[in-house]
Amino acid sequence: MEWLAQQLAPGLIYPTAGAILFALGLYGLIRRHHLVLRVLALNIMGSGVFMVLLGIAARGEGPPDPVAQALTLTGIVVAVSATAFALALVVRLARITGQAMMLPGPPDDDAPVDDISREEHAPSTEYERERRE
Amino acid sequence: MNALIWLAIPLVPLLLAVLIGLRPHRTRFNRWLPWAALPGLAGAAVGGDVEPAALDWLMLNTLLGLDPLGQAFLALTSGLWLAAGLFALSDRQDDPLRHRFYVFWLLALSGNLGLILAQDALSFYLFFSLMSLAAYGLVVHFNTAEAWRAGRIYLILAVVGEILLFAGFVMAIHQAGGDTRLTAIAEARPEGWGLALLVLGFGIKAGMLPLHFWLPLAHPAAPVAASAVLSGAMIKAGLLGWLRVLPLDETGHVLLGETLVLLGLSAAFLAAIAGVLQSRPKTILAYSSISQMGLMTAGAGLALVLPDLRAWLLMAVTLYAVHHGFAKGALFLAAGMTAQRPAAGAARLAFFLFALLPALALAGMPMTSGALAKNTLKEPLYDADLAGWMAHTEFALTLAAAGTTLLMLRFLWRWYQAQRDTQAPPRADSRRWWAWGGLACMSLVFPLLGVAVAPPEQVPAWVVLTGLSLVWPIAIGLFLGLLAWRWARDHERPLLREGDLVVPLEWLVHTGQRLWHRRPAWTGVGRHPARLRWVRYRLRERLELAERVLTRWETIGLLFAAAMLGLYLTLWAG
Amino acid sequence: MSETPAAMLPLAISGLVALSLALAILATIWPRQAHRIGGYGAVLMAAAVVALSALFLAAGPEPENAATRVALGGWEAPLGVMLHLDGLSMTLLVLTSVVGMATSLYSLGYVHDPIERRQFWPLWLWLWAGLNMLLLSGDAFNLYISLEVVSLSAVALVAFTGTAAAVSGAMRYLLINILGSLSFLMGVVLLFGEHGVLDLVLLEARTEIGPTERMAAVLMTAGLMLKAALFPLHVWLAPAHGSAPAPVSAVLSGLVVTGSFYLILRLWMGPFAPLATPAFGILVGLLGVAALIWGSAQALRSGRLKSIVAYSTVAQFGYLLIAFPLMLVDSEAWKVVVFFAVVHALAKASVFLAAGTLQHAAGHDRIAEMGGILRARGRTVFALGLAGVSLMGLPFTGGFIAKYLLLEAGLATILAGSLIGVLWVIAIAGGGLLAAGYVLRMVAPAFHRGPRDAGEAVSPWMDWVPLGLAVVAAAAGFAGTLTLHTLTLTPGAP
Repeated sequence: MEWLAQQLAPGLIYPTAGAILFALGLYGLIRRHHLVLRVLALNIMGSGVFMVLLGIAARGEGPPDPVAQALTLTGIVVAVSATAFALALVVRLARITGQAMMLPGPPDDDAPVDDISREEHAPSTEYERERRE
Repeated sequence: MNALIWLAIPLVPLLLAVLIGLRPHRTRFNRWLPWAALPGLAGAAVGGDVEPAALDWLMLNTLLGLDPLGQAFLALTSGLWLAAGLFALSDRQDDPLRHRFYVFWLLALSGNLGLILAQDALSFYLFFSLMSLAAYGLVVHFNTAEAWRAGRIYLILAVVGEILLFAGFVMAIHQAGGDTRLTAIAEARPEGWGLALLVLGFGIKAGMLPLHFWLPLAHPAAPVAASAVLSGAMIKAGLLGWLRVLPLDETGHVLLGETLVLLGLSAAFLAAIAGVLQSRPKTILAYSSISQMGLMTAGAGLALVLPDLRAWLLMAVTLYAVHHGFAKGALFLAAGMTAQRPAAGAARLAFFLFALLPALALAGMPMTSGALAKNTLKEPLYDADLAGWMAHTEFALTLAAAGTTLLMLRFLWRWYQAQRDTQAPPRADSRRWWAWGGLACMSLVFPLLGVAVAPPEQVPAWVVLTGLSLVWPIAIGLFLGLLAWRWARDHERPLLREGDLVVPLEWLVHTGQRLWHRRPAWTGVGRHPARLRWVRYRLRERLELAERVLTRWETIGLLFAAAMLGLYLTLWAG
Repeated sequence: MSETPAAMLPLAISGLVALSLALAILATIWPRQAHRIGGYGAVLMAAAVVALSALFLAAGPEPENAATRVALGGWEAPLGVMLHLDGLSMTLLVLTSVVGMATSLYSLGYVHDPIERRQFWPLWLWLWAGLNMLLLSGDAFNLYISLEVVSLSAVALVAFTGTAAAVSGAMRYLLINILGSLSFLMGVVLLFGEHGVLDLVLLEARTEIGPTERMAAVLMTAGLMLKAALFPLHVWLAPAHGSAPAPVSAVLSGLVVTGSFYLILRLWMGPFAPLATPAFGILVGLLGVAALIWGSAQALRSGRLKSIVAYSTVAQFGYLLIAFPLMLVDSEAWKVVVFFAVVHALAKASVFLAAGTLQHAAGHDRIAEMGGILRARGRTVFALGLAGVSLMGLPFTGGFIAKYLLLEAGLATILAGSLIGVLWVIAIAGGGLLAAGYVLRMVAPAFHRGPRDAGEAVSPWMDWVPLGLAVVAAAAGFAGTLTLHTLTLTPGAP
């Protein structure tokens, strides 16, 4: 019991929990098919990383390392913008295909090609027409 | 500054090739074709005093320069290309595909000039490849079935040669401790595989005995001017390569030397026999080239066996190369002049004289370049101590001239026959005449000039240009020619198929293909192309399926984890 | 102008970063003029990089202290952010500017719709700025930020055409990239926790062999392997590169992937160098051989022009992996690897640009139906073939010099007594044959008989830029010594 308490000292509990969150997020990313869930899984992974970082910063005696906190803040900003961008992509994919899932596999040899360099390049989807207007 | 001088020599033809290639209908550029070799000639004239240039910003420490050996080869190469270019310009003027010919011509010229200047392995190799591959375009120029066959065989051998050379160079450079300079490679004495690969790689280009069979096919197939440079200049690149990288130092290399002497002497005699049995003038000349290259090969081999005499022998081989280049070039151009025979008068006399002169020079007639080259080559052998069969080398070298005489007789006869039905042209084509006459006169000018510039020390000048040993083989050749006269003079078809060894080789390939097509069912190999298509289709399907499996997220996750585990384990276990 | 080049370098480095960021920001806030900003900016940036490299070569006399380090805002490491320029980053900066300028000029012709232009140019300029920052960053966290800037703008560009395939490909690209980045960040965090610094040079001085370092190395390497599409983690590459607009594919295959590989190389030459073991080298080398075979097989299978090119990237990156075991034996070999990466990037970018022109002319890129276009568009096919020949490594091209140097290093491995070196040499030599196979698949229809059909008209930019870049790729071998010399100016490297 005493051993466990020692191990669960704040110096180690956060990194351990962070690693577990990282692994859980990875699992979610792989197993979940809905894209929003996948994006969330990535966020969980990110939280795991930040938790490890903060835990390490708070490990020593005295006040926590300000550099680590600055890094975490910057990291969160990056994570937020990446998440927003990913969600925008999900919405777009859902509008085109009607579902928030990824197309399977490598590109199909017979799939149509939309070439933006061509003159008669017409807005192919409803979404695209919307975007034009 | 020196760098610019040296770079200009191969770059001028390259630039002209680009110009002609980009603007094929601008005939103005065509006129410059022969003069693209002029910087090379100028370089050979004054280049001995110009320092080599280390262009260490170019590729991997490119080193361009000119040693005495290179100077002689550069003079031969640029002079011959210039004359032949002049000839080609007039010869090809009505050819609708002439631009293609000119571009390949200039590319090959650039490679040929560059490889002489190159003093490091990498640029040597690149220029060598440029020359070999561009010459393919010259060989197949006529677009006939014969040209394509010759071109195919030429290309196969050229590419094989490239691969051998590349592998040989990589090994030799490695033995030299990573130094790419040719002198460093030669000093490090390439051994074993590296040496064998280099000898074979250059041997293909030099027409060494078992690898010579592309020559009698490619030379007759190409336009006359191209044959002249193929036989006169490009073939010498292989010889130059040998002289540059073989261990020609005070230790020598007896085994390699004896092999080269044996191969060279065999080539000298066998090619003469094979050539006499031919009927087309250019094929006969091609065999004569193999025979003559055999003599030079033997000379290089002797320098390896007799390291004390190597300086003299190398000079002799170089002299021989220059002599043969000019004479053979003139003879090939003569083969292209059959339709130009003047009706009568002094011009007609000159017409026969210009063909006779280089032929006599090749046979070693006194006072010609052949006499100088042959005497120089044999001079040190009289009192060299050679054991075993090698003791007869000097005699064999002398006797080879009988074979050459016979070949030249045969050539002149067939050449004369080819003029039977031709009409004299209304006007002499001055460019062709200049090119041909100039080359033919080199057979006389060259030895006299040589003796005048560097007179021999012990003997009067005329002694090196005469001698009994020059005359008796010619007499034997004439005698044999008379004997065979009735039997052989008029056969229109060659008694030995052109390309000798290539015939059984092609038979083997064709038989193999036939057998493959008619393979019985019990071999278990699919008989129908349909089955092959099916196998390919299934393979594609499988590959696509596998890629889909890899694309599944579960697989990605597993592989990602496995990669981490593998990396960790290998880092941990050591 | 009394200042010495060495004294002017720090200013020039900060100036380059500022210029690339300024261009991106300017294009973002002024989208109507974005194409002008991008077009002139590309030329300006290339000129700036050329000037920087001239300064660098003039200033960097000794390899030991050739690196120039700039503390942004005057705050030194470990607190501040350091910019770091040495021979390695200089070489790749030049590469980036060459490919970047070619791509920009090409895009002037390719993206002509006024609305699309406004979206394309800011994204592309951000991508370029991110690449410059990636190459100039000297500390691990800043590298992570640059990686994210590069990834996000690259993903947005992949999704640009807006088809289902493109958006789906972009989505997969994004998720995998973030996974890779997070893995990389986890490694950074572990290193930071162990040593308290982020600066790569300081980290290198403090690294010792321990479990935390090992874990960090594994996390960062695996993350970057994902981002660099190294086999078997390459599956995102073909859908993303295959469905992106042509100039974007060129940049992705030429620069972005190379950027990730640059990081791997930098880490293993710097902080992680003491960790490397022979078994690690062999594992990575085997992955490289597998990549070579698998990528070539897929390129030989695929029926679409751009897929073929994308899979050829997978195959060619196998060479870079094979180089790892060679580097363990001959520490000089890393320069060869970088040279190879440079030559590959140039050739691959021009192949993609040429493929884009052909696709534009044909309206699709199904190789089986492109015969007419290929026969009619000799100039573009020539560019494709020339760059392809460089990929194969035939004489007269940059690829030849690169392959020659790799073979030489492989031979050294064999002679050093490593039996597995034979495998590396066979793979290096055989890879060229496989490359010949898929390059021929692309250009062979041009030589068959059949009708010619030039298809849609293309702008002069799209016609000439691929050819120009292919010539540069083929001639890159002439700069071999210069590149290798620049690379020796990398302190800390063997």
